Amino acid sequence: MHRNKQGQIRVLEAFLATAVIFSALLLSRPIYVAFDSQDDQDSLYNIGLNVLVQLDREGELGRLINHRNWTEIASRLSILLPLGVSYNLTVYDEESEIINNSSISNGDLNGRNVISIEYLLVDRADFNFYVVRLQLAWMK
Amino acid sequence: MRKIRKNNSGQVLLLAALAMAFIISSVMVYVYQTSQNIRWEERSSQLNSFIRNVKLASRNLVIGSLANISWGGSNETLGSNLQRWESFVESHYYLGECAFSFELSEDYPYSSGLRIFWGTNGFGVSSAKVDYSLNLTDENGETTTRYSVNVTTHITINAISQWLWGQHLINVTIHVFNEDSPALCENLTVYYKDQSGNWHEAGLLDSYVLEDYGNGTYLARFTVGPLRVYNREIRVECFDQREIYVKATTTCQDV
Repeated sequence: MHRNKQGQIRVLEAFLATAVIFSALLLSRPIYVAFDSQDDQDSLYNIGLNVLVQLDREGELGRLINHRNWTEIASRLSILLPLGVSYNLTVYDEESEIINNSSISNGDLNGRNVISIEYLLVDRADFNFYVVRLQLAWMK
Repeated sequence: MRKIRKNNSGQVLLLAALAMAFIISSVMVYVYQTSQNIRWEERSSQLNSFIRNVKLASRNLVIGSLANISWGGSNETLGSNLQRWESFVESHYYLGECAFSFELSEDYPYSSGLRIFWGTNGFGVSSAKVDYSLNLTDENGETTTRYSVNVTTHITINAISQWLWGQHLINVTIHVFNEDSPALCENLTVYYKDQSGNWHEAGLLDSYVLEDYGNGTYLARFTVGPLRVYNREIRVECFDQREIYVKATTTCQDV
């Protein structure tokens, strides 16, 4: 009887030890996940910024916005952004009013890890200033 | 003795488990601290992104202003646009405080940031130069970036006139430069002066041919006649691909 009790205690101790180790593992997991996802977000931010800089280098983005050519902007973004990236672009004028009357996006960003890039833009022709907000997310 | 050893084995197991949990937790803390460093780097990367953005947009603003001024706009355009841009940038920085300022270059041959010289010696230049200072402050410290934007379009032209069969065969060689590097033209027009001193567009002549070498060099050829004109003046007007206007006049070398 005494021996049987000791055996049960050993089993309980083993379970307790296992629980301690697994709880440590479980606690550390969110940080690893956040760490991994941060890398993804950083690369997405850099991709988005480079795309905006590329579009703006010769003043092309400002010209397209000035002409309210949202279709062409969407088309250029779709070409320049890698496959597997969803985007949504919003253009604000100097009074922070949204000026794109149609959506410039290639999909729904809801429920995803979205990064947002704010980019200041000058239109060379009429000297209008714009704020462009590009939101990006990896497609699931 | 045997009994004591049996009792201790469970405690050793627990101690080992606690040690493992401690190691795992230590690793977790290490990873957390590393991720904090990365967050600081991310902040620094965001600062650099903002600086990169402002630099490029400042350049675009100078290009646009110069294009406007070179095509008849007021010289004040540059200063007033930059003032608007200054307050726009300052009001759109959210990571801390931003102090942005500019100075129109007064270094010779610039005056109020501009150098527009369309000479009669075959050289014409439209240029703007602005010095900027961008100061960003947040809880981690202060960053000051000073940079200069110089936008210059210049052309050099050389004309040779050959009197042949009662007509002038005129060859005009044109070189176009952006910031001293060969550049392409968006639009190029060649004019010649007749014996009465009136200007005419060479492109309207049937004999007019413009060759584009693709490297910023253009050759315009045309014939004008029949009266012989010595020291004929030739003018070339050019819009580069940034819409900056420049012109130059030269006198034909008679051969």
